[in-house]
Amino acid sequence: MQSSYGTTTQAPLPAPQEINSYAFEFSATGSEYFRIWIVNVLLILLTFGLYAPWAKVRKLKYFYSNTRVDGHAFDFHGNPWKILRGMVIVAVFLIAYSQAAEFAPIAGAIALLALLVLAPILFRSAMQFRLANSSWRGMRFRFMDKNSKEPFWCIVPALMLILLPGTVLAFFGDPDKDSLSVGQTAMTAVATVVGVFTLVWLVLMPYFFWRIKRYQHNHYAWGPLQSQYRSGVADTYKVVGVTALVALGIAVVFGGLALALVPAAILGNRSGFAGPAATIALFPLLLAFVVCINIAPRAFFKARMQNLLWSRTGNNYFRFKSDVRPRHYMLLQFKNYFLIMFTLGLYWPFAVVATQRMLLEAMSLKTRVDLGALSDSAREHENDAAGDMAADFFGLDVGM
Amino acid sequence: MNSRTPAQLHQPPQPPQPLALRYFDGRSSQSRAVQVVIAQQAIHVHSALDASVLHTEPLKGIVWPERTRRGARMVQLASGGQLHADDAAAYDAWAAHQLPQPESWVVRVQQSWPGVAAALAVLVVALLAAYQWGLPVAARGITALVPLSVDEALGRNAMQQIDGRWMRPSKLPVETQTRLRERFAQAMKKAYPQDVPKYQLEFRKSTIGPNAFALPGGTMVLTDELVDLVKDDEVIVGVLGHEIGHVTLRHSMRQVVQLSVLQGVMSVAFGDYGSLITTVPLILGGTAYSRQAEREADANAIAFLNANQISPLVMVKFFTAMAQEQKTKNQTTPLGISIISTHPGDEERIAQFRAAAQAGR
Repeated sequence: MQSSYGTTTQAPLPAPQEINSYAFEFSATGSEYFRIWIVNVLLILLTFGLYAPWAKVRKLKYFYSNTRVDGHAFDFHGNPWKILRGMVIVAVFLIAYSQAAEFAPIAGAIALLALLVLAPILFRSAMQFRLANSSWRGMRFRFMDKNSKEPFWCIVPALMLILLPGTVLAFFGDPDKDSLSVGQTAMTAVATVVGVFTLVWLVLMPYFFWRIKRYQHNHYAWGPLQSQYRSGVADTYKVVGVTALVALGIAVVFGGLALALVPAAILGNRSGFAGPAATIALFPLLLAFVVCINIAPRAFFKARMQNLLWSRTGNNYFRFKSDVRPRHYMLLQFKNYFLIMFTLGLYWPFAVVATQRMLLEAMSLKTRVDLGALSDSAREHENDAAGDMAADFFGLDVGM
Repeated sequence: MNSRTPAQLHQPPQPPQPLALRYFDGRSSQSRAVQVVIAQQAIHVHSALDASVLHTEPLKGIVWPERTRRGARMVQLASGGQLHADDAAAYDAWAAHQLPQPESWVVRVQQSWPGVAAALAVLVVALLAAYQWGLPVAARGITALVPLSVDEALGRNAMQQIDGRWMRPSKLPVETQTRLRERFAQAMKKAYPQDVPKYQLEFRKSTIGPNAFALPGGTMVLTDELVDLVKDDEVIVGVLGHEIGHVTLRHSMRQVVQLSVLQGVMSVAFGDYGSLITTVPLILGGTAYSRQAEREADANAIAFLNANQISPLVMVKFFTAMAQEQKTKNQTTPLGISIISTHPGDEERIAQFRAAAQAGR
């Protein structure tokens, strides 16, 4: 029997009460994370990377235990040995994958096929691992998908769109024969195919992104509460479109400035006056453009997307609200980049904490149930399962 | 006299002392106020209301929270339950005396500024050492594991690209080509008497001026302009002795491995911020390793010339001719720009060959 609050095997929820709103609180500090990070990086280096899972657990525990809702902190339960095992498996697979094509084309094809099949399975198990190992108020989260086909539908076509152009190139673009006279028509045909694929990829990318996010946000659960993602694909296209406009705006502004400066540089050189200054100004302009185009659109997208994703996540009993100001977030990222650059990387942990603070403190949880009186009756039936809502906040890929 | 400081001294478990915590059983979000006591290698959770025993489990398997400034203290029980502390300071004081094992030294370092300063100093030294020695040695090891066919595939690819952009078929007379090929084959036999490495010598007319380069897998290219410029077969043998050094030492592959490792480390350390920020260290690292590779190839050229009883001074001739060519043209070619940064200075290299000539006399 499907009950009205999402999951099937849970005891009924307590009667709804009035709506309570809880802001997310974040108490991590840059200086403390700096200390944790320095020691982590040193130990990773000295152990040739083997310490990485322990570093990851320390980092996650630090961020989780400093994130509170209604006065209760999150906790991370991941076992470093299990994470190490996952890392080794993935590393072995990736090395085998990259080497397979060297032995025989057929081995390369098999490896490609294996990647297509394994990627969605790895993605799902990573989600399950991360969520099952996160808890709040003493209860683990759970990722509510065991064996649906949805991750395949999200990931395989997207991966194929990424990998096919390269495969086509490798197939046609590598004639061992006379290297000086590769058929021009063949190259043009290959270039056209690759171009078409890239275009199709650009157009469809937001669709697959939306499907992956919908898959994730439809399957988070905590106790009897399971989240739903209530946003159509059009919303995602809108965010992508506005982000593209931001990038375009930057290009137009810098293009205009350059156009104003280039004639001045040329004219100035001829008259021997004001020219050198304009020429010198062009280089910083180019640098500023590269910096802006790398930071602003990405930051804008991140802020708007988090707002969309979390403000549309919930069900009839609870709802999130995310209100990150894109402009503030973009300015913060500019500040982070410059300070990281000028401190030779030492500002990095401060930047991470400042970013998480802005993202987390923009979040709140509204609920009509008493969060302190829920029980997870499903846990008695399944030993290893849970879901998490914090996984995404920490900006990490899911817990491999 | 006891030489141990109080901090090192592992305090014997003091008489069991209760601590007020909140207990979650793992199946419900409802907590219960409890008093927790550690005794006989087990944790005992008593209800704060009626002192009844709610839970007992052995200490083995419990994950204790680590000390942070404002982070919550949450004990993860092996049974799936949790104990949360409302008062972090009280928990820390209790844990310091009641837990059988001392706090992890990692946490002690992380929570002390002198410890962190020492870690930072060691980190800087370790990074410099890894950059200077560790990575090149590791890259040599990894490169040895990569089959030569990968080098050959890379080289074929690069040759195609270069041919499309900068090279035209050679206009050198066939006799000249044959003569140089035979001269070099002879020199190779002398330099590598046991086993001549696989190579292929190509001639091309270039749009980038006099140049010679080696591609991974053994293809070496001489431009017509270089042959016309030096007009001396012994100089060409020297130049090719340098290039064959790049081939046998697999410098291109090593560079690929080194840069990928460097990029990997950067992205691990800096995560999202990696893409833009790591470009500068990558370029700097790339050119530093490239200069090192040129020095190794120069050393190979010296050994190569010595094996052929040719004075290393022929390379000085080559550098002088190249310098003059650049001066008359008064322009830098596309590859000429890269020579500035990817190669050691001409003076240093000339001095090297002069010294070798002196030593060989």
